[in-house]
Amino acid sequence: MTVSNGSTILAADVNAVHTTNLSNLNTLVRTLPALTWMRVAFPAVVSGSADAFKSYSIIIPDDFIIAEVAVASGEGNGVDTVTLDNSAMLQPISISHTRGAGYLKATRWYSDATHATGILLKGSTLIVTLSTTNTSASSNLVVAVGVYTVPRSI
Amino acid sequence: MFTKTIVPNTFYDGELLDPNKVNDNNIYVNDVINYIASNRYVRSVVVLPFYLGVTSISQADNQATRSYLIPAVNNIVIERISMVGALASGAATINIYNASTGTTAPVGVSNPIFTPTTTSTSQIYTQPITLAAGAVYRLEITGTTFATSKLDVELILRSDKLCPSGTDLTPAPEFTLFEESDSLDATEFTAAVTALTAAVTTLQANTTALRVQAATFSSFSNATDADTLRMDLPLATNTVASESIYTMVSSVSMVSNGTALQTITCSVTTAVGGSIGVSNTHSVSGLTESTATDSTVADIAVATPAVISDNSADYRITVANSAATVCSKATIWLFTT
Repeated sequence: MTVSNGSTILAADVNAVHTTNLSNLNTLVRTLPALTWMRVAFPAVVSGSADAFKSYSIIIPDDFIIAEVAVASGEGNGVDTVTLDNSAMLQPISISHTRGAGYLKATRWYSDATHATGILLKGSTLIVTLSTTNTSASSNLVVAVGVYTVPRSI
Repeated sequence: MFTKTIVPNTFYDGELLDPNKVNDNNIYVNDVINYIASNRYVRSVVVLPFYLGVTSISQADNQATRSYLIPAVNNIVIERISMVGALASGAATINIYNASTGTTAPVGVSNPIFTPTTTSTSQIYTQPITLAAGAVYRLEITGTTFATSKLDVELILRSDKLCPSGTDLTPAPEFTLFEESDSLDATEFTAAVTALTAAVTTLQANTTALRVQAATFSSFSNATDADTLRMDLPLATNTVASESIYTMVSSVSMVSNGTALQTITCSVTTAVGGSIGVSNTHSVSGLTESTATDSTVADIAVATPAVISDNSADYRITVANSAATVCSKATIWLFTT
């Protein structure tokens, strides 16, 4: 649209002057929120390991919604129970996993109709705890938590 | 959240062009631009253990074992860094400095940032620490006599879509607000639209923010099972289409027992489903280090990042040691967009 002093502007042209911009901005809005991951590992942890090595406390940096939790083991034996708890969660997330030869993944936990959405508030503490009957120090267990950043409105 | 794709005011042929309505429309678009720009940050949480598996670190360990190299692929801010845990004995300090330039602390940072003790539980260093793009930083525990217990340092890393290289790209469109008593000037009318359009273009061109993960593997040799030396990338099926993934390996260290040579490599492969099944191997810059006698080997230089842009596969990163001599610690940093 070309505007010049003294000219007549069509209403349709004035109305359309920001159509493309708003369409592009609407697309950018829909790219929010962002998914990020937190990851902790329990290498060489066996049933007799000190409790301190079976727990992580993570200070949450932002308002997060837990999207999914992945648990995987490399070698080892026995059964693991991974628990995630936070003061704002409706109920702790508990994932059971059986170790064995090779690299094995537990059934992925998703925030869906069967699981209460986990909310992690900024400044709160997420505690990831491992209970295990594994007896092999030549093993590893990894817990990865996928979270969505909750966008703030202005 | 803004979902309207039309401006607040609609004009009709024959009406007097009201400057206030023109202003409202421009301001509305500017507000949406500001809203998008305000959601520029992506935060990641990285946990770095200062122990090896369940074994403590002491002052006798080499620098590579007692420290982490943190590569800043883009300009990243450690928004908050906290220490959780304690020492088993002795006294130590934790410091951070720019390893690319020597031993200077990052701008504005006063070391030590933490002073763990045998009774400490947690400490927080709240001052943001800017990691300049392209530099490598070292986070190190030192002391005369100490041994760590369960001691983790947690980094809250903030990536900024509008400041990837250290230069702030925040759009700030300038446009005239028309007074009711003025005649609408065509030049100013056009300039306002142009400025707002340019701001939208800037936002469209800067939508990438890094997410950061790190995985530490300790005490491994060529006899260590590869299944325990693996870091899986976030499942591609749950990521944004055409997501590109950067990998970088840093802080590989080893303890040499004399003449043994070790080659520490990092590879990226794809696995089918949930079991091990290599279908593709992507070559990345192999990170190697070999030494004959030095038991205080410094860290390996940061390798060139490898870009992976296939979102249809399930990727994993593994480290390996070619020798029987144990590598005390290797850390993989994963930057994804």
